[in-house]
Amino acid sequence: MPSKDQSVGRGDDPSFRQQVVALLPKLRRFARGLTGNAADADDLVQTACLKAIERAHQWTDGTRLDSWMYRIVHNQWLDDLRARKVRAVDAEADPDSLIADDGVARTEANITLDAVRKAMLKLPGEQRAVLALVCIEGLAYKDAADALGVPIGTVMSRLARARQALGRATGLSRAEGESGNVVKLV
Amino acid sequence: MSGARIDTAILMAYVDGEVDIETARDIERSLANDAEARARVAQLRHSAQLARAAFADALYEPVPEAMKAAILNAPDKVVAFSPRAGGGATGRYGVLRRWALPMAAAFAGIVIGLGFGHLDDVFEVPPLTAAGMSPQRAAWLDQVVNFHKVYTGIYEGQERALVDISGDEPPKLESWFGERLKRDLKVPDLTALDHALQGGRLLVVGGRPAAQIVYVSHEGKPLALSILPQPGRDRQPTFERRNGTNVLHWRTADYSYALIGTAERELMFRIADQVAPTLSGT
Repeated sequence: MPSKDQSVGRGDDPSFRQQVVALLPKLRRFARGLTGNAADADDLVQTACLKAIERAHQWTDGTRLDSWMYRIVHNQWLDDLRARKVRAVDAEADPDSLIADDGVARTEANITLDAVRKAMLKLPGEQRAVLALVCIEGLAYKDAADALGVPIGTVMSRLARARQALGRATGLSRAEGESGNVVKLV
Repeated sequence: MSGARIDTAILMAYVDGEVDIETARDIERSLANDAEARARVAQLRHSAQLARAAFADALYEPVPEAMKAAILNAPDKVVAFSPRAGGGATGRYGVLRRWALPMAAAFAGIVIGLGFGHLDDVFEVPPLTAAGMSPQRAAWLDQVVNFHKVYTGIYEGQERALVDISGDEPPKLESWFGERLKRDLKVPDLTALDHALQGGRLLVVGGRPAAQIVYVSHEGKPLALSILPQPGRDRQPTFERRNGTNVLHWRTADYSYALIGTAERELMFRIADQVAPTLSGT
């Protein structure tokens, strides 16, 4: 942890703010994946960055600033959803129940990137966040787990469900039974 | 393990480069005799490609100046800010689309209007190798990966010996490779990502000239950027492990590219994000 002398006033440190600004493109992309639109994403990133400056003393020197920022953006997003009384977290729900009929029906032709975005927005929030961090931002499972404050196993289970649901919604994969024999590869 | 089903979570970790080399080899041996598992590997890769393609544009849109100013000038305590006030005729902040747009558009273009039964054609799924890709693509990747491994194995610790053409003068390097690849080539600068340009070497892959631009990290780890003229559909960046090496490959505007080295997956994607616009000339 940083010493008191190091932490006090870090929010005023121009280099810290420059580092945050340098992360904006990736934070905006991550936020776009969470919110589904540019306007809400920018509002979210803006609020999160200002919070980060306010709480700059909480960032530990030597740790990854991007992971810390992803975490703040994610937490702010959850706060916003709660404030709007929108159910945000339902990681254990059956993905099929959250995909609209028209998405499942997929007219076999209309697989567009817009459809992917829409399908992603129909995922439970926690699955969406993991998918955005790992598949879009390219984070390793451990870093995604750190950013979201969950175990790696949870990251993997959410990610597997998210990909399965995304595949079904876009027609890339057919429904498959997940209860088959498990091969332990050691 | 005959007849048993490989767990999807294990395949997913394999696709994402999260398993160690021994596990990866075990999985690849299993995949060689398991068409159903190969199909799942392909689907897992496609799901990641789709998600990344769907949000590719966002990374290259210019950050609103109002947002940067608010962060740089904000007091320690959060102040009210409304980015919604900054709208413009072309959107809230206007949009400058770079390489990601044509790539995303191309990706969308190839899937629009095609039936489910044609998906295999769209994504070139069959025939698949053990790693779940077409033999042609696997062949060129195997060759450039093996070249890289041979060079780095022979010349370990002798970074300058890794290249035929020095990177001391990038314009000469660009001119030399540009002539042989018959294209304008801008060699990406990766110093901001802690990789110094060493130079390049010319390879022959499938009877065609290919460039391999070599960088070395501040820790002395080589990273190769391979460039091969290869007409075909654009492809989003895909990460995988091949022959014990990390590889991130993509294709755009009839050129295939591959980053090869020991860099972690996330750094590979960051490097790809940086080099792709340079290589596509946008």
